[in-house]
Amino acid sequence: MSRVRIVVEWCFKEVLQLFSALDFTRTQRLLVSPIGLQYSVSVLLYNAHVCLHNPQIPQYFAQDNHLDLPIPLDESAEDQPVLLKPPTLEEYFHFQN
Amino acid sequence: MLLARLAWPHRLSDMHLQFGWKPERVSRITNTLLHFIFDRWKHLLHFDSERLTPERLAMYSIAIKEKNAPLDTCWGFVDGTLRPIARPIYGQESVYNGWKRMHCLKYQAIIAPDGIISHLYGPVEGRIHDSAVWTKSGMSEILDAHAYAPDGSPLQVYGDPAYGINEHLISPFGGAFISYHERE
Repeated sequence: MSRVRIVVEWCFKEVLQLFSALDFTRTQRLLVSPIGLQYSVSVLLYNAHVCLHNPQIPQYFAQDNHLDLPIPLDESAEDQPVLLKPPTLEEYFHFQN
Repeated sequence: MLLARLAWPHRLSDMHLQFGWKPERVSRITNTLLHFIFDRWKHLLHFDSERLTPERLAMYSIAIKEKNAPLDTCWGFVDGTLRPIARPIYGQESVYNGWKRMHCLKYQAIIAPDGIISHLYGPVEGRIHDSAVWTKSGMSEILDAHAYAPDGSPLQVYGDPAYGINEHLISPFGGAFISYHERE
């Protein structure tokens, strides 16, 4: 189970790789710049990046996927394992009703 | 411009050269944009119950099961992360984490196997324990309301041993060696 739990750590790593200003400790000053906001918005932008680029984590879970899917999400992507395609940007960024 | 600001330790004066605007104006623009994006999309970081339907959660759990994981009722992974910050002059002890020995802020995230961070809570002070953050975030109530398979059976998120176990949260046994019964 720990082998699959590790993806959560990859996730944190990838957020920092994309937005490495967050990893620059000396400029991360509490009450001086909105650093909590910066991290939250970076996570949102990271999610958008996931939607567009299909990076490491969905690929990891997509390996040898040959099961009968309960719900096919998207018939157009036959070569991709359908199960774990991240949502499209439109699916992900929807307004709150 | 915001992406440039977050991408690398750009100083505001560098961005002044790059964009041709005064540093204070660059700062104001990026901060306004941060607020704008966050206000508009913050419901996505809470728990997006419109996208994370029971069917989708069930698919996540199947995907995790397919990776030879022993559990088949787990749809995501929860963990806290510590982001180090510069030492504040006032109130530094409240953000000091004695375990990692640094000043930091803590965030809690749930990751679904499609790579999307479907829940982010934070920042909270770095001295608070993971399970206290979990209680504070009110995540158990949210999962009580939403995290079910289509047939009504509860689905769990998987944490590390700090989190404990309940109907919607599951974690391994502590310690480096696990006994035979625990392994079962």
